[in-house]
Amino acid sequence: MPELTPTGAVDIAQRQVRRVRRRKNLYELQRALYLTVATGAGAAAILLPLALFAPAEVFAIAAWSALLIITGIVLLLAGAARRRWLARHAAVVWIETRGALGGRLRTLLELAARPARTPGFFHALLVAQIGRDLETWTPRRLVPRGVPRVALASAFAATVLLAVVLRLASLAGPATPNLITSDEPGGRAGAPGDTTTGERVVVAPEVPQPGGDHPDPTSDGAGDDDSTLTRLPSALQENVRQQVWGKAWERVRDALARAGTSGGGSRSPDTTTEYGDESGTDADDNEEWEIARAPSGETTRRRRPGIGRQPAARNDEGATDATDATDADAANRPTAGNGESDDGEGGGGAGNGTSPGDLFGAASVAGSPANGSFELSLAARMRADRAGARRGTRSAPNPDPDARPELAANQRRESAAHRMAVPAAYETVVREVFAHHRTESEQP
Amino acid sequence: MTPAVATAAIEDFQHTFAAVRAEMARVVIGHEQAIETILTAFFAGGHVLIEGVPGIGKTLIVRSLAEALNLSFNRIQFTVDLMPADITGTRIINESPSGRRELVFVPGPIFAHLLLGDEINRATPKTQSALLEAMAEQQVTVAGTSHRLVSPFFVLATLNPIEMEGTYQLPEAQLDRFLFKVLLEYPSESELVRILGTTTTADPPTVRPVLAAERAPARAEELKRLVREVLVAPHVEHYVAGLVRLTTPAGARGDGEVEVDVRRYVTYGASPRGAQALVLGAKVRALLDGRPHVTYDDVDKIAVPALRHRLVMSFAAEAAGVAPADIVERVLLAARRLRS
Repeated sequence: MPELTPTGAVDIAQRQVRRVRRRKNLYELQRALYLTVATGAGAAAILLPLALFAPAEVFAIAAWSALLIITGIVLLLAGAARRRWLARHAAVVWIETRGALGGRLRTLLELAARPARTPGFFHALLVAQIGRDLETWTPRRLVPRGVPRVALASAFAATVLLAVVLRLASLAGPATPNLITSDEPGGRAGAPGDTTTGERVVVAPEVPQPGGDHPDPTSDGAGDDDSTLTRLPSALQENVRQQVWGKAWERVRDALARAGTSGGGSRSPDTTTEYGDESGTDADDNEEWEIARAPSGETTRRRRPGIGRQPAARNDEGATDATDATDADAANRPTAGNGESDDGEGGGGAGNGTSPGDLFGAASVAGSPANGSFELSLAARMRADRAGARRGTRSAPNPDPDARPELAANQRRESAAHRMAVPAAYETVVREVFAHHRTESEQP
Repeated sequence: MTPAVATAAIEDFQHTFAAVRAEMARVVIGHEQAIETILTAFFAGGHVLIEGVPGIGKTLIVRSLAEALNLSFNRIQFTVDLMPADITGTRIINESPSGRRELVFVPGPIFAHLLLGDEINRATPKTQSALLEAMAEQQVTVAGTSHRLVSPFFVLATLNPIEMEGTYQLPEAQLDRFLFKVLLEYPSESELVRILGTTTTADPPTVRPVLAAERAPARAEELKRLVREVLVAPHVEHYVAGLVRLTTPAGARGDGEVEVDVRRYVTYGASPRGAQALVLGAKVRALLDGRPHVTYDDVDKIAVPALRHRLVMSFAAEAAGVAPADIVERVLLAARRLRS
């Protein structure tokens, strides 16, 4: 190696310091990045099954806990990266320590940075020592690995785990539930909150609460706090299911929506009718007359709107009268499924019927009472089928005089039909659920 | 200057230092650390205050050093009635053969390369102050005439920590002029046995000069200049400055415990001379370690002897039995934490 001049030694040392610093900081940056990826992927691998299979409450707790833990870990990683990050002024000190240079490098560079001063007796010796030491503190020696292997392996393993979980979860798609209607409070099958992905969904009156409180059927059991923070986990869970299960989850939602619609129907008090999948819903064959009930929590659970279902008209009073004016009005309306409102306002009939986010249009505000509820005229003769209430095509049958209905073994439980306060934002959904739909045979 | 020459100079310094130390060790049993500190002060160009009980070898150390370096040596026994002129010299009336009388300056014992001021605290402050100018400026002024002292000029003063009656505590200005203060401890039993074995024989060991007589002063000055060439980086200078500032009640900061201790026990901290002493002593340590530059460790090693006699302790410190060295040690710990 040719003998270094003092100026040349300083330049070489400064360049090497910059290279060491660049390599070290790149290493630390990669490590923080990989560990962050590993943390995120690991948390996602844990949360994904919970989002798909766990109840909303469990998922909400898990999601918030995971968020807190991930935030903490990311903060720790950021702090560690900040501590390990080599600032310009700290680079030489770090190199001195790691390279066991005994303060030579720092002394040389600091003395070189001083304003013009004649080099001392020992300056040449210091320069020579720095030139001899250059090979002992090369970037590769001080930072042997360009890639943090452990962090990278962690990130890779977590990502693979997430992919495996994702694949398994997509394979374990939900079965479309069978709908079971029951007038028994609390139903006879299935736990009250276990109606989302089970094979059977019981539509039954709610068990009366001692305090008379009734849960909001639209709150999905997540509590009464309707804030954004409360809804976030539910929205995330719904989004995850939609993304992972796709069509299968849409069918489940449709079935649940139908459960919400048929839950208002009144069947024989002591009978529980089990429905299959979408097959066997021939409206004409199963048409019968019944009295529609009030949509309180006593009669329905899990009222979810079905995708593509036609929203109800804003005012469905007189639906059973089937007057000419109504028919004419119905004839002027778009056919079922387009979901557009004829008055141009939001609310019933708004929406295009295809977009999940804007299924029923904007919530109606005008005309909603100040107390947040609205009246539905439901105590009227209507024709219903398994797919939900709709207008009949025949006249009401005469009762069979010889028919002697069996008496119930026990006296039916008297439970008051509570009038539920429905938020105005759900008006369109509720109207859709309790709408009297027309069949194609009724189209003019 | 080529690296080879610089390396040879460092090796020469190390060799000379080790040779002097070895020669002194022939007659001085034990006190290795004290001897090394005294030699460090000599090559750093400072003076040393030695504190120890009588009969522990203070005078022997100084005399051995002078013999090893082959430099002139004088001793002054400080007493209450000692006058400044007894140290610096005085003018006398000298009658020439022609009968003409004139005032002639007769140099005092201070005109020597090595001066031992034995029990310096027994002299009056007026006499003690006679050393001030000599130690700081290496000259004495008698009757308005300044007389340059010889080079190298090295003062070793001893203090007797017992028999405090009839003594005069050294003024702070005088204390500040000593580069280091060395405490001589009692020898251990094994050392005492060796002392008995070597000093009570018919042929006690003697010190052989390391430097040639005619070149000894020049060689000593050359080595002292070499010490001053050692490189000190700005970060070390900042460390020394911070260390000295930490010893002052107004400058104590950064560490709560040390700050409280310094403010409670220290009335006045170290002066800028203390910082100079730290750097000069650290330079000698660097050369002894074969380095052309000073590091933190060099400063730390020399901090206690360089600073402990510069702290003016409070009554609270005396009541609590806190020694200046304790404060310096705590300040060192705080300074290490601050630099890391």
